Amino acid sequence: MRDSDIENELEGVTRLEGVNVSISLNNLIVEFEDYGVQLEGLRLKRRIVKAVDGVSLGVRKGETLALVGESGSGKTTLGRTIVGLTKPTHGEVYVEGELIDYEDKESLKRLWRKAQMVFQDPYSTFNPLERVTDAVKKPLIKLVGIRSESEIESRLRDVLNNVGLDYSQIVGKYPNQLSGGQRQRAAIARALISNPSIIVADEPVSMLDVSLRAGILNLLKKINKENGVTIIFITHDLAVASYIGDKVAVMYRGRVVEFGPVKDVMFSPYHPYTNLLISSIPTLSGHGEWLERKDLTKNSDQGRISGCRFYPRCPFRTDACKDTEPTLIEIEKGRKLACYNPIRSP
Amino acid sequence: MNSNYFIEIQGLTVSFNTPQGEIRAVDGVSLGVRKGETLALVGESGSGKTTLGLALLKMVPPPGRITQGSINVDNIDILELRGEALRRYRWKKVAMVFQSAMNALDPVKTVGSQIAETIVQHENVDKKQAKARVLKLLETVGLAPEVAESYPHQLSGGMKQRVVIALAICLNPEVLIADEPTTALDVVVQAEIMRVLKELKERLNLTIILITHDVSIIGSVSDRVAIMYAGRLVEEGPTSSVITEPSHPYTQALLASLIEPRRDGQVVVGIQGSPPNPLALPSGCKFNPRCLYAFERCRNGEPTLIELGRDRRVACWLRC
Repeated sequence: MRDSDIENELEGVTRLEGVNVSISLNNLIVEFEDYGVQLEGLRLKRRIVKAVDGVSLGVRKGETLALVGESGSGKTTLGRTIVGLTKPTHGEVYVEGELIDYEDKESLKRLWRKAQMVFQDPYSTFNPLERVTDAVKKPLIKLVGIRSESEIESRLRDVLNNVGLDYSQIVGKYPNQLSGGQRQRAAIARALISNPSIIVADEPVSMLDVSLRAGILNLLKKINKENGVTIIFITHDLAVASYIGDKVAVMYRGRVVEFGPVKDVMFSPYHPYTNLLISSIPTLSGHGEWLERKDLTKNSDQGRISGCRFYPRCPFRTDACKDTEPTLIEIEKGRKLACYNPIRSP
Repeated sequence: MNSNYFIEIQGLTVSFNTPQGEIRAVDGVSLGVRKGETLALVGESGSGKTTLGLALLKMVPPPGRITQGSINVDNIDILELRGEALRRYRWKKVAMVFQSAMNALDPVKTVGSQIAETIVQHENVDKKQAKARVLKLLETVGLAPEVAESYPHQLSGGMKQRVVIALAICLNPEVLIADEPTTALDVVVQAEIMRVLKELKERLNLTIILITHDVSIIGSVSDRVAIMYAGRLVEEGPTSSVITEPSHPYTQALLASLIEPRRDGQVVVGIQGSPPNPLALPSGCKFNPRCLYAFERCRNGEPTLIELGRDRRVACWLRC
């Protein structure tokens, strides 16, 4: 780590700079228009949903960052923005030093060569009418511009081998002829074939049987270690995050509420929400205890208060939390937190 | 088998005749569940766990048929039930929370009216009484009374799953079968739903069969666990004893594929290979191609369940 990196990180929200930096997000905001189902009189009510609401983060080259949060926390939107599939409303995304211009096709094409995505559902990620091997080859042709049949073929064999698929077993097959585990490996092969330096993996194991999960996680770990690929791993499961991640960013309703080395966060979470996530992990000896206030009425996603977003669910809330939203600040070397009443472990 | 079982399944086989051949989704399963017990039925996709759950309701979808065996629930031979008796058995004796049922709630009716409707159709009660019962049910699953007036889209995934559970228990069944009730939910909500099931069991003395592919959740709710592989029961016993001393290599591998959240340097291995093709099952023990300990005998003959003592059974040649 270069000194200038540390400097910048200490300042909390400022941009992480330097040659070791893979991704740097600067006050990123992504908004969607939602016509939703809320009727006002007889007119549909339009509202703006901030899926990502002011995220600043830096990821070093070769690092694995786990983005953790519940559905609706904005983790998938953040991941899609990093690979250029969703356009931010505000803020900047730098990938390997280059500011991404989401209006410029060339800038996006350069981004796609660097960053690829693996999607959650291995059943819908492939076109059912296209042979899997053809889909895996496509980025080589479309993105890298390789024309030589023999080179394409040899890289296809290499990448399949790399993800643990037997070429002879999948060549010419359609997606429905592969098992879920094989399909997810093929999806990783497709992301990997153009030699990207970043892979964003969105819940890649949540739809797989437990027995197959370990294989996919170990494969991503191997790709990270051996190929030096930076991995953004999106998950709702902190156990999985702790297995795969170097760093973890815990998101709640569009914001990062806690950030740090994954082991440190797992062993001593400071944010009450992180604590809730950890205590919800099923273990063979049963669930941990959690003191969440239960008032389950209508969907609590609706109303917006000015203070901390976790206020309605937080057992440690005080009046201060109601009025002003806490910002993400560095509270220890390498650990950031947005909370007025952090939990201090004994 | 012991006759103090509330649910007693003997040699159950469920076959599907397909153009490619016969598939035995459930093959010779014998299993007993005591009253008030929670049994976790664990297996990978295709292991036959859902089919077994549907068989308990005599609801195996065609072309599937129960070809052999018997199912007795509270000393009733349910395979003999027809017409009105079968209708009463379903939902009043045994109810099921189907997989992704929370997406099947009627979008244009309030959840309260959906539950009330079910009660009125099955029981001789008026609307007012049904409404009172709806509020009671919502409270039982940890929802506020206002939820009765909500439409499904206004509720979160966890709340909808609670509504579905309330709907399943609205006729006071004695047995609740829950098929993957937490699979599409976030970890936090998963934990809440598990707590709801646990409370139901304690408050209503429900007998629960929890169907899941996720071994990590069995520790928090189940008393006993039955592990299925390729339509067969391969191990069964009290949850705590199976967790601490898994006997079948498949059970061992399943437990070893769990990630322990606070362990440094852990390497989880998973299970090599993939679940077998039901149309081309291997000879001998169905797990042998993926088993680390397979030997000659495993490829030649299929092991049957043997008693291991302490209320435990396993089907593995290594234990014979």
